[in-house]
Amino acid sequence: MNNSLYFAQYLLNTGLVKTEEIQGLLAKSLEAKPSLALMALREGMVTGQQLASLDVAADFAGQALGKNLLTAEQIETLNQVVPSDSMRFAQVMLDEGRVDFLRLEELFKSGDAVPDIIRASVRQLAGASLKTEAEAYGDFAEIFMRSFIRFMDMPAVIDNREPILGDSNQSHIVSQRLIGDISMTTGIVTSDPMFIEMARRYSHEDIKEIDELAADSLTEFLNVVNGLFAVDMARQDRDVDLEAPKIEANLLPVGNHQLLLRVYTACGSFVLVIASDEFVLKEKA
Amino acid sequence: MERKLKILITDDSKLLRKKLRTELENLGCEVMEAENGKEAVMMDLQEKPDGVFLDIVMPEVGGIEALQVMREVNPEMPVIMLSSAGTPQKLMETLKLGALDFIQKPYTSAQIKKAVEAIRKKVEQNEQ
Repeated sequence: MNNSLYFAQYLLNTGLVKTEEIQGLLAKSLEAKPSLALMALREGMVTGQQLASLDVAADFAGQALGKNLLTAEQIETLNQVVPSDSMRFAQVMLDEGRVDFLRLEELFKSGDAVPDIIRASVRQLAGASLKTEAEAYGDFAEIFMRSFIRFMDMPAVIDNREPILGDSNQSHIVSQRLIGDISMTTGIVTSDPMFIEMARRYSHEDIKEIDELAADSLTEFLNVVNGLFAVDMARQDRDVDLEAPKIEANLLPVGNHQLLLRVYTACGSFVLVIASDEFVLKEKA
Repeated sequence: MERKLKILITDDSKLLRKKLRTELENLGCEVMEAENGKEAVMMDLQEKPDGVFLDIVMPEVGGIEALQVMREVNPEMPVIMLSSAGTPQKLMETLKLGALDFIQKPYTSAQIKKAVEAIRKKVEQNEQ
């Protein structure tokens, strides 16, 4: 399977990219324009070995045609490809000289071979203490990340270290309770700038401050994600209902069986919180 | 010429009301808004809309309760449920209560257009 959404996540999980640098690399990937050579590699049309024999900085299409590596139809197909997040991130890795095409080919293959990369990250962070909850939390986190990347239109990864809440920048929490065959509460703890950025991206409105529209935007995003989770659970014959989402300022969530996930994006980070019960909100120290 | 449909949007989210209003106005509808189920029931009685878009998860009076009351007052009222939790159970529950259709959020423009066409058809049937 082509892990087109989670290549950056794979590189972080394997230690090839460090937490300290992930946000900068994701930001660069937003602007990156994958080359035709890289897209051909990602689409499996050429090998890393074949690319190594070309001067890809020059006329790649002409060289690939001349050496019968690609047909004119394949070049045309590549020109129509909408670059995926994995292609853009890979281009940054190439541009920074951290990998070459041979290494990239290996990484694409090994990354694609990892099943359920988000669930695996959650299982690792959940550890033994949240073993019972890890499956449902992993299902939720997978839907959350997929939805985030789709609706916010930017790449994102889960840090492989558990964050600590209480950062002075964490100003708001948006949360929603799910009840039924699975009961849990999900929430987003975020700083003002990240809140505004997410609200702006989700709503496609010109949001500049945390007002009613911004609050509605982020609560609606969480509501949609939880709704998709409820639909997914219904497929497993588990009935889940949603309560109305809430928003609070300058409070921190404390829940039973609580898992914290730091999500890095191209525009900043936030903490995704999942707990089995309703959060008890305590004042920040 | 088709008469302008009067549509009531009920959702606690200002953002959703704003977006849906634009969609409906682009389809030539006259739009009214309610922020919760209680307000929707009142507007249903006073303004007599041709159709209603009704969210399910809302504070105080939710969409299911509002649907029940609206159906008692006007059993022929076309109501489109609009919710993030589009589970088969919710779909069955609302259709049993008489909702015309169920749209899962986030909706597409095509879904809204189809829903408006269904409301118009129902209104025309009711008027015959």
